[in-house]
Amino acid sequence: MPYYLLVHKVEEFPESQDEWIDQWREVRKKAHGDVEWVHSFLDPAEGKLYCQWKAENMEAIVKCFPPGIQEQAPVEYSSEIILFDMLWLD
Amino acid sequence: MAYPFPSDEWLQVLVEVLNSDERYADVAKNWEGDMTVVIEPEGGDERQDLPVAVYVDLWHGKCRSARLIDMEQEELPDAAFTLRARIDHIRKLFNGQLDPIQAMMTRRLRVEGNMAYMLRNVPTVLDFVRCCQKVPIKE
Repeated sequence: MPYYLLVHKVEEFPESQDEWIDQWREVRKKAHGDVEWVHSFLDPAEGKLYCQWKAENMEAIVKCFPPGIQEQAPVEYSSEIILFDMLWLD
Repeated sequence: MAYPFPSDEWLQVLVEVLNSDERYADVAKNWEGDMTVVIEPEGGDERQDLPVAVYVDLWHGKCRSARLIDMEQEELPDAAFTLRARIDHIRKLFNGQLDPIQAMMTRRLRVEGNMAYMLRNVPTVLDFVRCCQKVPIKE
């Protein structure tokens, strides 16, 4: 499956730990089968979240987003990317 | 030298570390918020000295004050953040076996307070834990 990188601009961080975890769990619950949320990296200084996904296409990823997430953390960049795993050098 | 945890000795050394660590002073220079950490017993633990709370007043890269709170004698202060965790999870945090973000995501470290502020200041949180890791704990 292809890899995708999505860069979200975090306009609004969750106000509570429960809100944060429940929201991310909801995304992860929807991400199964032909779509996988692999990793996310937060850049708190810039308020950006860099998310790595594995999916057949972008539509499959967007389907995992719960209502409101596009306003809270809109995607400002997305692209299909190619994996270079450094372990392959071993 | 290792210190019993939780104890006044451990806490005083932590204050010295926080107030002398240049990296912490820089990373946490914008942090404004005191914090109470409630240390809970493990399941089935019969320890009589738990729960106990540690209060730290963290302000612009310095620790202005810190003290242990005997929860039988005193109510918890109205701090900006109250964190709660079992002592075995805190020990794992402080010896590097448990990642602080993972601890929060799994609720092994429970956070009461403005999560948005904490997420915007994750580097400060991580560097605070790094400073805690510099104070050896007596097993």
